[in-house]
Amino acid sequence: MQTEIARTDNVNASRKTFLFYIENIRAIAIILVVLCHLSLWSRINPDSVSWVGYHLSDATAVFVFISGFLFKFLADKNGFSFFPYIKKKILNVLLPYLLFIAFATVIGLILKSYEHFGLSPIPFSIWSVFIGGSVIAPLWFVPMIFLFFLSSSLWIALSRHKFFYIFTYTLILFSVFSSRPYLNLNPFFSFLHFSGFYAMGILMASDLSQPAPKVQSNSLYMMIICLFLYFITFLYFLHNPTHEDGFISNIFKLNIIQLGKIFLILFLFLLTRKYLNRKIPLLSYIANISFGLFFVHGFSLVLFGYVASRAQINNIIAYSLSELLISFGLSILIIEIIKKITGQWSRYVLGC
Amino acid sequence: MFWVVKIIFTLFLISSFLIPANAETKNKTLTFLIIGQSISSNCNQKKFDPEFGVNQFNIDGNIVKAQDPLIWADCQGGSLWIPFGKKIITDNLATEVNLLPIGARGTKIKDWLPSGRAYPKLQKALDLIINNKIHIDYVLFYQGSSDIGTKPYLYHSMFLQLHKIVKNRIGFLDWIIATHSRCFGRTDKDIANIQKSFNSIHFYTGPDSNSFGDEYRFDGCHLNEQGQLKMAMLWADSVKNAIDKKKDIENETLISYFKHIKL
Repeated sequence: MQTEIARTDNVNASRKTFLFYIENIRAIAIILVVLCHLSLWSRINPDSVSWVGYHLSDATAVFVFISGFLFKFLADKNGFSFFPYIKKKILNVLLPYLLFIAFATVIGLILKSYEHFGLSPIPFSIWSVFIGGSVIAPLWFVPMIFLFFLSSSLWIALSRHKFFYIFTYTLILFSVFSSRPYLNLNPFFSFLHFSGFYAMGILMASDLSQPAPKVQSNSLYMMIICLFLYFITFLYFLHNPTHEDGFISNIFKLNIIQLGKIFLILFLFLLTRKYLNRKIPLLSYIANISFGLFFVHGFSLVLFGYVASRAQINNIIAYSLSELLISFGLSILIIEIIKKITGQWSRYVLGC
Repeated sequence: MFWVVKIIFTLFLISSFLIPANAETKNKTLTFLIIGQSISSNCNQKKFDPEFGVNQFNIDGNIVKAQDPLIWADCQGGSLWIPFGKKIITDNLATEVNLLPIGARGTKIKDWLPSGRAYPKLQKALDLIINNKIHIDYVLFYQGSSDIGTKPYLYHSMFLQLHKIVKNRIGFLDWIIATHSRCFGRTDKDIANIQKSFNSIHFYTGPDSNSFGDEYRFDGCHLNEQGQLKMAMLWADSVKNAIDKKKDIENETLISYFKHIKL
């Protein structure tokens, strides 16, 4: 009886506590995403598949993991009902996306980006909304993540199955032995490729509601092991520095970058849970605007590219500093201005 | 309602795996614009005889049979493009090959940009293409050894400028980019990596010229007959790979579904 009470208390406590560590991981993830998209790396290191690319690329995996984690955590905490859930996602995610993709598509039409893809304007416009990243590359993420939202009932049902962990391991294996679709322009293939990370997030959240979560035991040792394995995969990558996109052509081929991301995510999860489970103002702020930063930074980088090509900045330090300033600083400024203008409606415009 | 959403989702998922029927007829003629330096020109050892179906454009834009030395390219020796054209035909990629090789010896990539010494030649070729309504299928880019020592990011940037110049005049074309940064015993790995890094819907990987040892070269840089024949094969294979890869990309990114819609 007492064990039962303690178990319930533990479960309730874990559900009531704000997950500062998840907030902090979210901030780290968006920083990695923005850094990954900077062109300064190709100036510092001309190799297309470089050590920088290994560490920074596929930061999306971290976001997908967090998405799965929060989905399960909040579903267990508040209960889950599909229609209220999808309505919330339509308002907070799809609506801002449609605003940004409309703007991006108009830019694409003006710049005749449709010629680049061999399409005429109207099919290009429809296709752009469907796949997201035709003009502003990072927007590919939203059509994919929306597929996770649409399949939420399925994920909830699966997560309650006693063999969900086997399903998760299978999906993780698939994520490690597949690649993104070409140019990230197929949300279905992206959904399949990143499913392992989403399932991993759900599994970790499921584990938390246990009386003695596995993640809590020996977390320091697990952190060290994860970091060590991440380093090993990095060394393997340095000796085999090739990676190609293309979902169909790379099925069942080892994706060493994603394998490393598995260990990195586990390491970050354990590290932040053990040592950073508290409010850190800067990370908290970045986490709160992460969706807005995600939407806006692509536009900032396109603007920077245009300005940099006109200004012909050759000094590597000047180039790097200005790109960092534009990508983060200008993006944050735009976000704050939009939030000021739209007030309580900012969530439907920016996602934050 | 929920079942409707699930069915729609499932149909979309399945549709990703469907390969659309190819509504285009087979391309019987392939036309190549070849930009590069001496190795892409008539500066190689063996002069090849004409081959049936392998043609070139003369100065007026008329199609004539291709014979070394090719009209538009520098030097008076041989090129690799006639055996290349023959291989394209024997591989059933086309029944006819038209060549416009405008290589200029010793050119750095900046020489192809405004105020560069090869820029007038490039513009003259682009004028010819526009005035004669020539449809170019591929740009074969075979340059780099003159840029040994050039900063990689500058090479990257200048290549994109060159691409933009061509694009602004004759539209988006598919480029096949060779790895070539080796000459007279020197190799620039950074330039080679940059050349290999170009990878998008319009950039495809060409042959690795750096892998050719001195047994394929007659002067330590340019190709002997064996080298010309082998490089021709590799270029033809690169064209085939580019055709296949483009089809894969367009199917995977769902472009092929939307391409048939003409609105």
